[in-house]
Amino acid sequence: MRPAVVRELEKTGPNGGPLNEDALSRPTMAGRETGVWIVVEVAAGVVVNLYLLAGVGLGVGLIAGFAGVSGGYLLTPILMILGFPAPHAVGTAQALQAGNNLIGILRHRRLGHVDLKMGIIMATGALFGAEIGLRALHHARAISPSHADIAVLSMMMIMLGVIAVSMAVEVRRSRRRLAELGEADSAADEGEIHTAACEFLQGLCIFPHIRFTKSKLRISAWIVLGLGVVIGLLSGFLGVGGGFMSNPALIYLVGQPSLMAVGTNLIAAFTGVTFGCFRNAMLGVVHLPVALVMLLGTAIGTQLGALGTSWVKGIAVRSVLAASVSAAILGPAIKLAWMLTGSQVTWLDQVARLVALLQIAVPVALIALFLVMGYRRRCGGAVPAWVRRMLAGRPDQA
Amino acid sequence: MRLPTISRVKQRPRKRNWVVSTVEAVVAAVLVCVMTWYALARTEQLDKQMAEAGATWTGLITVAIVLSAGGLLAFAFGRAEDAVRGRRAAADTQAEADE
Repeated sequence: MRPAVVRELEKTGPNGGPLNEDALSRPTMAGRETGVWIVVEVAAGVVVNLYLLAGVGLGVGLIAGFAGVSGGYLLTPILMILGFPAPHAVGTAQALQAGNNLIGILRHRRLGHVDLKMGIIMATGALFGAEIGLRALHHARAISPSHADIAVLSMMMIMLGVIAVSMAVEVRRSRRRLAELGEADSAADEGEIHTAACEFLQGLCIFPHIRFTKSKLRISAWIVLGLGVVIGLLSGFLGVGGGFMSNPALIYLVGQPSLMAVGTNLIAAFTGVTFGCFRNAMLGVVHLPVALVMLLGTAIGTQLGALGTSWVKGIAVRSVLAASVSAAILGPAIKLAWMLTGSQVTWLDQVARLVALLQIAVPVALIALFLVMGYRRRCGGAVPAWVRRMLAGRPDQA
Repeated sequence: MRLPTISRVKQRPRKRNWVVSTVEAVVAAVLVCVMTWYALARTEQLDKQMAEAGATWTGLITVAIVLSAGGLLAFAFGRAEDAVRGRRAAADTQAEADE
């Protein structure tokens, strides 16, 4: 017998459209070949080109690898703009991120940047959070399909706003810190950061107060567990890894070293998205072929992007991330406007699609520019002064 | 006499031939491509099989497929890195021998 949520969902079609009997009883992913183009039916009457999805995956991977983020904040809105209903977009993004996070964990484990004890506690919290987030999403969908879409897009916009603000604060703080330390001591900036909040939280003696030897700190397990629940909530409801919130939280609130925070957070994010993928697959809203095709693109893009970071300075990475986040707010905003107008203004949907592709294309073009200029500089060619400031290497190589 | 436990024995990293690493990387990448192609080519058949298997099995199979693809890709990238490093080391050794 199918779960109650599925039975509820079967009463309405995606995007409030006509009733599709198969909408959630099994994945709607009939692959169709039209000439050399393969299209995938993602909802009733909505088809998406598979090569486009592979390209989007490659672009997201390139940005994610270059900027050192998971890229989940780009995936779910783009899938929704391309026509996936919210639960389908979240389920597919979770499947894709489960594979991608596994690659990240294995890489960080090789480098020794994973605190397994803290990761397991966070992962336990992430399991609860993911279930709550997933139930909230499907509950919204059961009320009305458009409710879920609007809720996800609105939350995504709030989340992107939080990223943009936290990025601005972080950039200002790191500039001030660099100015205080001086260029020569900038390497010291990579270690542990002791804030008043982290000293307060580490001082809270709530049982069990656990020592994390790898992170060299002692903190109550409840705080770590709570952080895991937040990550799980985000992954369950939005299909994102939540690194943009948990990484600063681990560094500034828990007091974990920066590099260790990235690897440890990946364990919680991986658990959240994998559990979410499992639950969504049970409900039949994971598009496996789409997830696999995009995973291939994302994995290759991430490796290329990560290679590119050795050619540029931190400021170039931050510029790409800022461009990506700023552009990423536009697409969901236009799609939301289209939904709020009762899906009547068709050109808004077309503009949202165009902006969604541009929000990938602009940062990718920036990365390509940095890499081409970096190559030219290494070969002794002329490079514009504003680009030269962002490239790694000796100043006399201009 | 106290014998060293396994964790106390410092293991030396296993040296791999760069050709073997390249072959391993290519095989892993090809496997992922085959998985993706199969999922695309047999979409409707997969749908039917999953629908027959039931919700829990559908969830488990989906997670297993995605994680295998991720694991294979991680393995392929790791081996590709080893191959590039091994190739460079071999070229350096050859250059030193020539000198």
